[in-house]
Amino acid sequence: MINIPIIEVQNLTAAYGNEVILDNVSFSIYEGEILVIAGGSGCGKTTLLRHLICLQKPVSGKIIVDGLEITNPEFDTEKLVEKTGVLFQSSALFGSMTVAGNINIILEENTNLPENVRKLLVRMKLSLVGLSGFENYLPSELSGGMKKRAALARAMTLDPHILFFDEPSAGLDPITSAELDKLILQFNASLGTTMIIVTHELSSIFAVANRVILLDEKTKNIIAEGTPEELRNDKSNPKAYAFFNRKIPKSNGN
Amino acid sequence: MPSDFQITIEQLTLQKLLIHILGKLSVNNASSALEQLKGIIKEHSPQQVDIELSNVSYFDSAGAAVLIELGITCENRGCSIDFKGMNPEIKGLLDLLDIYALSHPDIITHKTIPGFINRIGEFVFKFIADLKWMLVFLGDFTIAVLYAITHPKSIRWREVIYYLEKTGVDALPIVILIQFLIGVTMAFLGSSQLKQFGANIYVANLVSLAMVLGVGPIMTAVIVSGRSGSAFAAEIATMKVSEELDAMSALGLDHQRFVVLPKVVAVVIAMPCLMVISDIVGILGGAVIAVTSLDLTLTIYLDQTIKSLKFYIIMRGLVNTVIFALLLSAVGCMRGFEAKGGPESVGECTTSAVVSAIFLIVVANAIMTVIYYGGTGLASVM
Repeated sequence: MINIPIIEVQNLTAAYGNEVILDNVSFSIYEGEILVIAGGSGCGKTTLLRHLICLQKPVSGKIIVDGLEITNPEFDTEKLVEKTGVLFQSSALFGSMTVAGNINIILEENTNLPENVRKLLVRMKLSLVGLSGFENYLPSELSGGMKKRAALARAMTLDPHILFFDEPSAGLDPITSAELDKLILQFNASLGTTMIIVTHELSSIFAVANRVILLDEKTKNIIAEGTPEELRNDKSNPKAYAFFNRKIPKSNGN
Repeated sequence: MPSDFQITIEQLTLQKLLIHILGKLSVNNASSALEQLKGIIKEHSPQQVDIELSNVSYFDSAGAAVLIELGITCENRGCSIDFKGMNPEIKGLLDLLDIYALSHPDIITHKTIPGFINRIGEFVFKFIADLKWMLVFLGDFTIAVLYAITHPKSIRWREVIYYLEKTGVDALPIVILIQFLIGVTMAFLGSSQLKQFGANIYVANLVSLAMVLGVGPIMTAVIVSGRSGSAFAAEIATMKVSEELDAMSALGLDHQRFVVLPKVVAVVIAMPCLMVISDIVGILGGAVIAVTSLDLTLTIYLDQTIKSLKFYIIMRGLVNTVIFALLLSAVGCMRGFEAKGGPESVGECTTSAVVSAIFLIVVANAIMTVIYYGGTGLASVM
C-alpha cells in the first residue's frame, strides 16, 4: 500500500454543547486502505464519522478530505458528493422511491447522462451488490440485508474514492454481514476505494480491516492504533487488549 | 469543455472494424462517447468490432456502462464485439458486473398495472377490510371508554392535562380570530338582506344562532381537527412505524388506555370550553358590525341576542360540540393506527384523519339538526 494520506484529521475537538465528545484527535487515513474506527458504545465513533462527512462542524481542529479542507466554514458540502459515499446505519433509502429511483435521482442531479445510460448504470450498480432484478421494489419490501446492499449501491453511484460505513453489520445476521464484508473487500481490491468503517463488531473488524483506530470514552481520544492482530496480541495496552479479546478490562470502573 | 477522449477507426477488412479509444472515458463524456461509437457502428455496419482500450487513462462505471450499452447495440445488429487491451482497472470493474443480467431483461417482473375490473375488486376488498377495522376499533374504543367511566382513576390524567394544553390553550388564538371574523361576516351578509325589510335588529338573532348552533361548532371542530386530529394521527402513525406500538403490546400496555383515551378525553374537555369562548367572540364580532353600520346600539344588540338565545339552544350547541370532539379525536387516533410501511404512510394517515374528521363532523351536524328541528318542522306542518 502506498502511504498517501487521503484524509487528514488534525487536532479535532468535537462537542455537543458543553459536553466534549472528542478531544484533540489527530490521525490520517491512507489511500486505498480499509480503516476501522472502533470503540465501545458512546466513545464518539459516530460523532467522528459525522465530522468526516461534514454533517457536523468541529469546535476546533481541521479535517482535510482529498485536498479539501471541509472544516472551513465556507466549504461547500456539495463538493464532497463526487468524492465520498456514505452507507448509513439505518440504510436511509428514500422510502417513497423504488430502489432504482433511489440511485437514479443521484445520476439525474449530478450528471448529464441520457436516460438509457442512466438506466443501465442503475442496473450495473444493483448488479454490483447482487440486487439485479429488484429495481422496482420499494425499500419497505426489502429485507434488512438487501436494504444495506441497495444503500451501498446508492453510495457507490458516482464512483467515490472514499466510502464511509456506519455500523454496516448492525442488525444483520452473521451470513448477511459476512456477505457485506466480502463486498467491501471486493470493491476495495478491484476499485481501490478507500473504506472507513465505524463498527464494534469484532468478527467484521478481523475480516476486513487493514488498520484499526480505537477510541476511548474516558480519554476522548485514540488509545490504540494498528492492525487487528497486533492489537489483539498487545498486552501492554489493557483497554485495547480487552476490547479485541472480548474481555472485561481489569481496571473497569476506575 | 475540451474533449478529453478520442476515438480513431481502423477498417481492418470489409467486415472487421478496429476502434481505438484514447484518454478518459468517464461520467463527464459518457453520453457523447456513446453517441459517437453508436454512430460509427451504424455507419460502417461491420460484422466484427474490436475495441482497443489499452490507451484509456481513466475509466469509471459510466465508462463501463458505455461499453455494455455498445455491446447490446452490436448484439442487436448481429455483429460480434471484442474488447482488447483492458488494463487491470477496467478488468476489475467489468469483472464485478453480472454482464448477462445487465444485457437481458428483468427476470423478476413486478407491479403489473391492474385492469379496471381488478381495481374495482381491490377497492371493494379494501373497503370491507377498512370497515371491519373500523368496527374493531370502535368496539375496543367503546370498551375502553366504558371502563374509563366506571374507573376514572385509570385515566392517565397527567397526559390528559398535557393534551389539554396542546389542543385547548394553544388553539385559543386561532379559534378567537376565526370565530370573530365569522361573526363579522355573518353580520355583514345578514344585514345586507335584513336591511331591505327594515329588520336590522334580527341580525343579532342570526349571528347568535349561527355562532351557537350553526357554523360556530363546525368551524371550531374543523380547526381542532386540523390542529390536533392530524397531530394525533401523525403521532400514532410514527409510533406504529417505529414499532413503539408493538413494544406496548409486548409489554402488556393497552393502546386504547395509554395512547387513545388521554387524547380523546382532553379534546372532549377542551372543545366545549373553546366553544363557549368562540360563541362570545363571534357574537361580539357581530356586535361590531351592528354598531358601526346598522345604527344599533350595543345594549339593544346584546338584549336581542339574549332574548334569541334560549338555554336549550346553547345546550344543543354544546352537545354538538362534544359529539364533534369525540368523532374527530377518535377518528384521528384510528387513522394513526392504520399506518404501515415507511414514513410516507404517516403523511397519508394524517391527510385521511382530517378528511374523515371533517366528513364525520358535517354528517353528524346534519343528523343532529334533523333530530333537533325535524320534529318541530313536521309539527308545524300538521
